[in-house]
Amino acid sequence: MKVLLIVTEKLPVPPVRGGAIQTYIAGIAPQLARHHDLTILGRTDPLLPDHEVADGITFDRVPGGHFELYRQGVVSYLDGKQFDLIHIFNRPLMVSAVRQAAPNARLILSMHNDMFLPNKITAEEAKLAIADAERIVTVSDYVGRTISNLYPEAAPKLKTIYSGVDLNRYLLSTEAQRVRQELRDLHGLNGKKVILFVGRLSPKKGADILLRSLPQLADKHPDAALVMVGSRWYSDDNISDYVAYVRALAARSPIPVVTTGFVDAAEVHKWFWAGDVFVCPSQWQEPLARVHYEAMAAELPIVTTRRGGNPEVIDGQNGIVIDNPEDPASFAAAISDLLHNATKRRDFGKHGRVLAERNYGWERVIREILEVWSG
Amino acid sequence: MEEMPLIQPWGDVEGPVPEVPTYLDEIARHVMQRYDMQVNEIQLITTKPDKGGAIWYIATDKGPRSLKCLHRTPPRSLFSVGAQEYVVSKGARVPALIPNQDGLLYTEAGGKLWIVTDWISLTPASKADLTGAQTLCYGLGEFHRHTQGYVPPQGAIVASRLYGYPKQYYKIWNKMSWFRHIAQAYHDMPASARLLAMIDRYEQQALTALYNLEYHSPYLSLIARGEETWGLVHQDYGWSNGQEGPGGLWIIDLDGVAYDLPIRDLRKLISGTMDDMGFWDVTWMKGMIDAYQAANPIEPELFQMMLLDFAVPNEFYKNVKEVVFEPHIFMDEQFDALLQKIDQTEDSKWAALQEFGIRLQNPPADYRPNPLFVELRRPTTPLQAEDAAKLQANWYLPPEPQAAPLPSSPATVYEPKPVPAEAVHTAPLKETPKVALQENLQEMQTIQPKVKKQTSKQPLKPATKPVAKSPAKPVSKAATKATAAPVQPVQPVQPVSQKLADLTANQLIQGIASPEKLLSKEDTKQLLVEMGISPEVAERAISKQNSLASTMISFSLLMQTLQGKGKK
Repeated sequence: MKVLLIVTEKLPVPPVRGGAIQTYIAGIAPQLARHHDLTILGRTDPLLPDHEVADGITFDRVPGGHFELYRQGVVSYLDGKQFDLIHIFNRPLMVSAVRQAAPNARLILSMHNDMFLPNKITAEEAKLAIADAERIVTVSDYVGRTISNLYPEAAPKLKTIYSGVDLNRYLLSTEAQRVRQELRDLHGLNGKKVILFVGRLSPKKGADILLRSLPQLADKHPDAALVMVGSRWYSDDNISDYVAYVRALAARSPIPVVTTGFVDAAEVHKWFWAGDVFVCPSQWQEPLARVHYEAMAAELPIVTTRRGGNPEVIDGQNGIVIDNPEDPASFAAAISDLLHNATKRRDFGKHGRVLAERNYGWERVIREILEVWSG
Repeated sequence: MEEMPLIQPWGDVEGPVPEVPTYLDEIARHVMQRYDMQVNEIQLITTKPDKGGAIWYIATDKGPRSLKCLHRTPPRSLFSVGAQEYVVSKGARVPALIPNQDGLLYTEAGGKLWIVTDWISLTPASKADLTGAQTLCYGLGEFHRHTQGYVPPQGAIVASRLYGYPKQYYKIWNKMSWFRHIAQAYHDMPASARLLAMIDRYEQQALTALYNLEYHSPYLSLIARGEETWGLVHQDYGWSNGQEGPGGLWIIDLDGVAYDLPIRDLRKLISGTMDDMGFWDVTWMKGMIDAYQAANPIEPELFQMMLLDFAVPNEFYKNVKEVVFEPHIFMDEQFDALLQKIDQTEDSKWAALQEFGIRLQNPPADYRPNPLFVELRRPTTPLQAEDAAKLQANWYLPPEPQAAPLPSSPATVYEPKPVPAEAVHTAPLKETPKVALQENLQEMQTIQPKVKKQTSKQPLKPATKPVAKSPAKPVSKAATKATAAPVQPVQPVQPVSQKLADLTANQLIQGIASPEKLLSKEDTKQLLVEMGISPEVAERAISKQNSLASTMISFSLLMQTLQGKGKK
């Protein structure tokens, strides 16, 4: 089939500037191109040509940044072209425009977050998008539910395809053990039980709740330490009130808090190797954070929250789900449980790796997408 | 223009004497050369080192003037520049923008917009008695009335706080728990015990305000009237930005104006005044509100919104929010004394609000803020036809002959001071200044759309027969002649295709991002009709998919029009 993937207007593919959806597409595209004649349409970028063919994939790029502009670029791009199937990523607002520009193509829509919420799209436009799409692929059951709760007619079209992780990169190899030791030496974490947080510093991600659980942990685990990866602690000028708040809490932490600053996506797996317990204290109803797959692939036991799609990848043998995410004591209890019990940590980690290998590799994502495409 | 460095912030706070980096002085000199004036003396008055802005007093052969480097980004500053021009055209006592030699009301240099106005000699209104506060309030009411109907120029980033009330109330409520946790973590600090003891009360106030905003207030129906209906709010109004001058009260420093409910400025002014007095004085509040109403009456629903906005713990929040930065220094004895004062003032505040008839429902015990309400934002739907038409029109057209000012409400007791007739304007506009948007927009916009060379696009499906062929010739032919002509006032009988052709290439390129600003639905329809499509089909095509069809039709038309001109 002649297949077109339409990326969002925000960032280009390949993910030269990062981006979850862009990483996702880059993860699956080469394999998909072995089965179909694949074109990826995305935004232009100074680092990339407007047209190129690489790895058997055609890349076309139209001006992005601004959604309306991008949508018009997509529409004019489609003019005079024929595709059997067009797969649109995370922009329900794009669907009807593409339907009009390519009346005969099959349309698939992939949803990575809450773009169907009423403050993002009007009911009229949402209904058009649902009617025009043949299937709506979501990254978690939760994302699907948010759509079908608002628009029940979408239910039969929904299909959850969980995202994936590069299983080889995160594998806890002998080399990984060496890197783990190196990082721990470098940051004074030898002999410490390392609690790992990876993510932005924002109220939604809940770093403040995790920090507030530390005083309760410290009594039982004076040898614990918290590592916060990827957060911008010391930006050049104005730090936000929230960052100031989190810093003020960290400054009074009874156990060491190590902050790494920004870590490149290509390096972040090393910090997963260095950790002992992975904590995702998300406070918002998030679609399903990628960090869960990464923690599993790196054999880390997980503490996460019953928010959004996060609990869908925890089966009770690879992590603990916090029912009351606003409560630091719940985190203290769950983390303490894992820190106490080395066997449990190891078993949870090993089981997480088994789950990742079975369910969360890119191969499975590719297989499921091909199934959707084959109708 | 020669290469100039981009203006960057140069410090945290202004020192005892205002200073700017040498390169900024040079840019200022360069900017002044672009005006038809001889500068004899320059004096730096004030600076914003953390943002990169400054004001100079300049003595010129045309009289004393002010030169200001606006610290915001150019598209954002364009919003306030447009606003300043608009209110002056409406007769507001706001310094008029003086055009540069190119006829522009601003000069772009060093990555900022610069403006020049006459230096108006101003004296602060009395802070010691109610009369001064009333002068301020009456002037504020006049200002708000003059801002109604403002439409920003194309390319401006719209500043709006109209939709931000839920987020603001939520933020204040949410941060109360941060303050609590800070006070707990820093329990050894002098002020922590008092702060901890106080927080519950203010946290509850914030939650109650948010709950009432959503369920028991006219907020949503008020904001539904739209931004232009309400007009602009100064956002930083007080004894320094409202001062007495020729003809009455003048309002300066408009850079922060934003669409908002007008009561926000009044509420802030009253809160601040009462906070300074350390006591909420009903007589003062009434006097200030009456003076405001004499210039701009407050309808009952809006009054209700103002009371609700008072009910938010604004004063506590404003004084405490800095605690998250360096609490180990902030929470000292001085802060403890401040907290004590806030708590004492609070009782009189609620007694005063009761007298004004505030009614608040208590939120149910299980009430949690609704995330959808809290994340309310500016609607993304395209502008309506009439708005688009307004944007199409030349926003800097000379003002219509002034309508008589609204009579002040007869019910009110406040009478503004009589105004000496000869002193109304120190520098009346001699000629209409031009704002050559089309030349400057491109530099300003961060998005630089590329225009594909291959543009013979089929238009969209809605029309039953192809519409690309027939209009292409007249449109593109006409298009080739237009180059960089300024926007022409729209002639009533002008065919729409001609209208498109008269736009410059740059305008068209800018318009691609939102063609509905160039072409209203009505015009789109007419254009289709001009192409030989039946009005019914055109109507259906346009109404079919919300605004999408018209957007895309106008886009393909733009593409055709662009053929043969402005390809870069």
